[in-house]
Amino acid sequence: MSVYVGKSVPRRDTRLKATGEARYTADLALPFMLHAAVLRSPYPHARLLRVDTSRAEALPGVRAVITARDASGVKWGVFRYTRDQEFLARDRVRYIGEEIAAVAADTEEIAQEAVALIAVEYERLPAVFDPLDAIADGAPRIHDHAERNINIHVPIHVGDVDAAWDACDHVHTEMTRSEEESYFMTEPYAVLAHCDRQGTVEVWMPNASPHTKAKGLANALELPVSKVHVRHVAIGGAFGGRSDMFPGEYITALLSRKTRRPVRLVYTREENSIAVRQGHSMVVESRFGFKKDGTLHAVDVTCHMDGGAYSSTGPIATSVPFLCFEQTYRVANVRYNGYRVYTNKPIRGMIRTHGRAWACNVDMQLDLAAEALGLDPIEIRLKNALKTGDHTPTQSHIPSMASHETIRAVAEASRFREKWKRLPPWHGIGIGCVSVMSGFPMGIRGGSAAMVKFDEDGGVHLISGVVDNGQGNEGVVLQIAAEALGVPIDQIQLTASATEITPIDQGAYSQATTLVSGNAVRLACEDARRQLFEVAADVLEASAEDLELADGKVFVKGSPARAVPLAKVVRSGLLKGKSVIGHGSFGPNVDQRREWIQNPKGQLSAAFSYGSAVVEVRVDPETGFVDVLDVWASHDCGKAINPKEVEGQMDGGVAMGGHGGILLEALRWHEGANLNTNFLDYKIPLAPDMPPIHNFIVEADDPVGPFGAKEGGLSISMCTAQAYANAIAHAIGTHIREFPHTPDRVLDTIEAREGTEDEAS
Amino acid sequence: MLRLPPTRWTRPPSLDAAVAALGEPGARALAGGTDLVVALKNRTGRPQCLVSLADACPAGIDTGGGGWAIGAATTLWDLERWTAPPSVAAIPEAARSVAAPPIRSRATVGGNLCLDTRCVFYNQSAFWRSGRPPCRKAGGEVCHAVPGGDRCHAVFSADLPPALAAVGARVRVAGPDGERRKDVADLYTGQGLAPLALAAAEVVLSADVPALSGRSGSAFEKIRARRGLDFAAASAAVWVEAGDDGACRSARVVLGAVDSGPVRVARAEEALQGSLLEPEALETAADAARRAARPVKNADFTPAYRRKVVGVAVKRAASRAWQRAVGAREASS
Repeated sequence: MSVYVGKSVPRRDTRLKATGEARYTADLALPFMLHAAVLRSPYPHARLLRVDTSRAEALPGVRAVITARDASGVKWGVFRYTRDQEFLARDRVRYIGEEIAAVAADTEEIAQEAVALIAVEYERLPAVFDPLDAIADGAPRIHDHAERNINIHVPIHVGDVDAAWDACDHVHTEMTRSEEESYFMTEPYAVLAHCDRQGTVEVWMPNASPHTKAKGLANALELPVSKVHVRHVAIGGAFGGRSDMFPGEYITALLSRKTRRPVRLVYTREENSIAVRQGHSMVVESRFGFKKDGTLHAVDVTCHMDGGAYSSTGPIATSVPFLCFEQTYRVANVRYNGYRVYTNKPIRGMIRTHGRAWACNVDMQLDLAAEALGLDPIEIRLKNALKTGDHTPTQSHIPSMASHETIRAVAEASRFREKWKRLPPWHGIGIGCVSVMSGFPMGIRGGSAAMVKFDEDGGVHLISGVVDNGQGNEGVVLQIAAEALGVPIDQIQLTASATEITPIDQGAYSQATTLVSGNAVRLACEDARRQLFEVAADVLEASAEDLELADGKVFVKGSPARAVPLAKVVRSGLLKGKSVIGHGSFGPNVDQRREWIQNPKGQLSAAFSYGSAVVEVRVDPETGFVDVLDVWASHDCGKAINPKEVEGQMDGGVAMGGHGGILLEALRWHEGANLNTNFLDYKIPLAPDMPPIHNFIVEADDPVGPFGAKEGGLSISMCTAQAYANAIAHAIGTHIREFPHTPDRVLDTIEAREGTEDEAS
Repeated sequence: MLRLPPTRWTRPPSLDAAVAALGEPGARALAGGTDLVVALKNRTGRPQCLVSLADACPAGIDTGGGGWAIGAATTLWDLERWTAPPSVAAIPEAARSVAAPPIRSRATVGGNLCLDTRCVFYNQSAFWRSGRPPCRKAGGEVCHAVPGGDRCHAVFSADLPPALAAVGARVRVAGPDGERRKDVADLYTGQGLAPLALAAAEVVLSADVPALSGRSGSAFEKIRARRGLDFAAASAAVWVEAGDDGACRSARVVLGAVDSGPVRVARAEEALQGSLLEPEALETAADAARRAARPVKNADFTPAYRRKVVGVAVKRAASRAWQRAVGAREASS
């Protein structure tokens, strides 16, 4: 019977954030700190003929000006084979916003003034802004190494797709397109760096993996990792957009190294939109083949993703949309060709729904097949959903997945079958499903470790590399530690994401934290408990196996009177030279030989979660506006460590993936320039936009996860997107092939349909 | 982060002092600042001195003189709480549709009346604009919204002016030559470049709303991307008056956000007059509005879409206004 796990305890940072006491990077200041500003390319593609910083250097209050001449020239890319980005452009700029030079000055105003004094002579080059244009003959070449501007090609083929079509009774091809999304974290990007005179660098910045940042920065600064300390700081959101290395931290550290003073760089909202990461736009062509009984038999998908100017997490971003599909619905024959294409646009990274055109295309195909084969949308999903014990086409074994339970939960709660095809005109209901992995192979940074030590008064100190971007990861490991130790949460102090102290950890990335970092914490606590019991066994003259820890006391099971306070156990240990320090190290059972491009097969993840959502809408046929009446979402997240937290993640998933992703959000462009970089023009959903949400946590203890827990939240972001799209299609009688489904697109689709038919069903 | 440019600031203690201060070169009036401060950060306006009108203009709704004088310094937050009669219900309705509550608590009636025109190619940071030639509104020779266009197409998207124009309100303006009154509609040039028909150093003191027939009603309808925050992609304000025969005796229809100024649509008014606002009459009015609209690709949604839905906005505003007029008549009989 768990005491702390499974309870909706308030998070430790809640009060700090609600009152404004939480300190984010832009709030931090150090003595003698300077302020930085960055000169960025206003052109999408140009050669740099001359960069003259002399007038900027002469401005009073300017302490340093840097360009590529000051930089190491080390290129960044997540993989050895994708290192294509210098953090300060050397001779060519490839997107609007690319870093050319930077200034450190006494005030931010002086730094910005100095940036305006840097004279750059550009030779404009032809630019390309669309992935299909970029691969066409005669397109401008963006990188010398990339033929036809193809940055990444992920080829996967399992079974025999070409032979499989003949065995299908329903084969259908669909083309969908989606525009770029933006993360719109509440906190714009910021960096504070301090290179001290011993040659170490301290850095604070919003991040999703302090250890990844430390390694990348160490490489770029040509320092050992031990000299780069990424420090803990409050972080205002990530959603995949804080995952890899950005020029900002390198530039700030370099300015600090040059001036020997702390330097802080705070991005504008526009810089946060264009110079960190964006979501990929996509063109997805799919061919799905089903048998008469609704069994999905063959799938062939080709996807062209607009990757922007550099690689970033390219091979992963190109693969994950497919992987989420192959672990959601069973298919014997499948081929995927994912192309990530360079364009003269900002750099694209991982984002929560991993491509609306991909995810929604799949569930559109299922609904169309159901219609053609006389099945209902629930039936065809139950028939094809992967479940416990299955294998994915790329050879992952699914140890636990309550897919059917989540489908049934939302189908029943929404009374889907009663409503399907029976709703009033312009009303619609739709379902979407997805499975998400809890981590994937990340080499030496794929595991996590934790330590637990004790104060002489029995207080507990937990040390973990876990990073909290706002989703509550710190609370999760605290609840796990409390449960595993038998000590109340408020008696545990956490030191997290501080690289000189915390052991290596994969970060808040790939949905691995709860499973991987959580297991490391659990193991450390179990180790500490075992050591405590060894000490206490002497004091209590009992066998260590018979001891229990609760309410601040170690006692003999069944004889609570034979007890000794925890503090006394700790002190007894210290007297004997036995300081109790628990250690836990966890690496998930994944196939480390698996590689995104060269070898996309083998165990991908230790656990797979599942989410299903049903959405009911009413469409205004005169304006195309979609009124979302209700959202039902259900989630197999294993065990909910903190149910309220999981529900918060589910609500956030509905907002970002569903409502924002399908109805509102898209980046707008003019010749490679981003037109909507602020909160007014980029349409994230507002509180009054949000529909009623009914959440159902389907607990199915995962055999690997700590106390049965695995990924929580991302599944809902994706499956609600699919459900929104299908509900709108049900309401207007046809699917919309472009994402998002803004009112102008909805109205155009209704009118195009009315041109061919009498009225919508 | 975006920083304000160094700018002098003054808060004159009286209207006369404010008018004098605004007569200085490079001076610009500052009301709630909800739009102007953003413009300053984007460097789209470079005034040398900001003149706060906080102590120069009246605030609140004055009921003397057979109508209402809405002080220019009245916040939209206060205006939306006005329990207006059905004849002028469009006014608080329009106020409520502006931005979001925290912005409305600072934004003023005068500021909304004098809102600058907007364009997605103009309301951008200095960095953004540095990558291309300056547009007309920024002092250049080109239009990015309408390549080859011979004028500035920036869109007038304030919400109060259509509502005030529909109910026949007038504005009281003060300047170096004293005070004058003009129709709300005459406050606007229809030009994207300089949308306000105000002389140098003139300030708006109040919007004077007439007491209208008890058989009239008004409504404001706004099409926008989200249920808050956004500027109109298209809007319509309609005032209608019921005659003794039960039909519509007179009507005023004013569009917002589909041109560089508010657009009064006489043909839509004609379609409503003499009708019972039956669907055919509404559709005719909507078509007239669609023809009068001149949206270009410089705001949320496509121009074609905005043209379509401005008609819908007219129909909906007219229906609601008519319900109010008829309801008011029933209540008064």
